[in-house]
Amino acid sequence: MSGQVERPGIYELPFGARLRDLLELAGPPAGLRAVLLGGAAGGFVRPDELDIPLTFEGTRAAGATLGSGVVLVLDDTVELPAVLIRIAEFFRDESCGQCVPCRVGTVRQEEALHRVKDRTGAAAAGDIALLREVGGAMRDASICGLGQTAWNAVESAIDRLGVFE
Amino acid sequence: MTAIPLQPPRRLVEFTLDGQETRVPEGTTILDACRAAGKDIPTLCQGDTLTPKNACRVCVVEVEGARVLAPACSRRAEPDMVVRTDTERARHSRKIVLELLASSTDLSTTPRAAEWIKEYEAKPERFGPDAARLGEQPRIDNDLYVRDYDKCILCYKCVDACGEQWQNTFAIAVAGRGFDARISVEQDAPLTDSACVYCGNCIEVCPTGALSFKSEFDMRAAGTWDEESQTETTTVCAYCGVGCNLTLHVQDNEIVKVTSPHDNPVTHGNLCIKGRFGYQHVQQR
Ligand code: SF4
Ligand code: SF4
Ligand code: SF4
Ligand code: FES
Repeated sequence: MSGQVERPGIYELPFGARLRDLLELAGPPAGLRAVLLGGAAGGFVRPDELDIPLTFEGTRAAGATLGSGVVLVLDDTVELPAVLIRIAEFFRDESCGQCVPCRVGTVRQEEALHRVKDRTGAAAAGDIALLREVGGAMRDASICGLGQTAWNAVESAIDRLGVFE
Repeated sequence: MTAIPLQPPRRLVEFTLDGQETRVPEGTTILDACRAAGKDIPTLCQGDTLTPKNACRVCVVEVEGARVLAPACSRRAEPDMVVRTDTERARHSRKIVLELLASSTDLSTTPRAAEWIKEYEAKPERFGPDAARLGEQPRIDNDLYVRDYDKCILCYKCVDACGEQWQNTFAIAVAGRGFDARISVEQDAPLTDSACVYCGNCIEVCPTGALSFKSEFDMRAAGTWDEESQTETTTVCAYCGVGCNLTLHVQDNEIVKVTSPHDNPVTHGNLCIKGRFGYQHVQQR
């Protein structure tokens, strides 16, 4: 449990606890904006989705993932595009470089996020379409789980949080 | 005389390829099955004399029930598998792979790259003028061959040909990670200070022209390289009793490079420095 909570740290909860229960234990921020479930390769969920059960099936049913078990909490003072750039930088840095979709795709993803960081709506649409196309190929055609999940968080920020709307 | 290597009989595997019931010997890759059926799947890191690292991902196809696409060059046909080669998803990933490569690498001497870019409607320029490129300069550090890593797609073929799959010299490997990964000799030294024995077996398998004879490199730079006008003559190397086959590429009555037939059952396209580069005496006039 990390990010903007009062008591970050390691929490052990029985299977089936809800995201809300975990947040209550850790002390949620006043203006909750988003929760990144499952670490950098996971996906964002919204403040109105805290009833998601923290089980493999429960998160899958909600279109999210438990992933590495990391829960990162962000409040409304955080610049989400900057967080996405940081995640993209992580994947670009971690790519081993063996396969083309991940080796070059993670670079193109980071470049596009830098371009759209201060844009919304129609001004961002072109780069978001590009991110979607590159992300789809990384997910489908990369050799290993790193490239295959390198666009998860960015995709969920666009589609679930509406970050560039 | 053609030598036919003896093999134990192989069982047949039945699977569905683009809706056609297909039977291939056990162990056949999807790519081989496609080629036998007359389908043209693009490939870059696959080569006829090597086991591929399936690194380029330009050959991906859709296997029913699989979460991700499969590299046709490496995935073997399995009983009852349902494979589709021309789906929207497979074509999309091939297009993006071509765009990612063409926007970062110089593909000007990669055979068929331009044709595939057109066929898949790839638009590498859409990543913008600031898209990161490899930015490598040709390494001209010996008289025999040039390493122009701006054209390198990191297909691993040269590494495998130099290392455990053929030459066992292990002069080159991949150094670095991610976008910074490059083919390199130890300590990134000049080739002349490396373990390289100049067999040129890496040049033989390089699919992009990143590795090329110095003669070819110089002629391309001078604008005199004219593949159309070249003749290819396959002969026997005069140096030793092994008698490897050499294919001499000749332009204007000068040997401009030497390759070796890949289907030779003994040498599979591999040579040593003498057969590969020792042809100057032929041209002493
Ligand atoms: S997907 Fe995996 S194998 Fe491919 S470059 Fe990324 S880390 Fe390497
Ligand atoms: S010329 Fe031969 S020894 Fe030298 S790098 Fe190429 S394959 Fe290895
Ligand atoms: S130098 Fe040629 S053979 Fe070697 S990895 Fe690069 S493209 Fe492949
Ligand atoms: S040709 Fe199959 S992955 Fe490169």
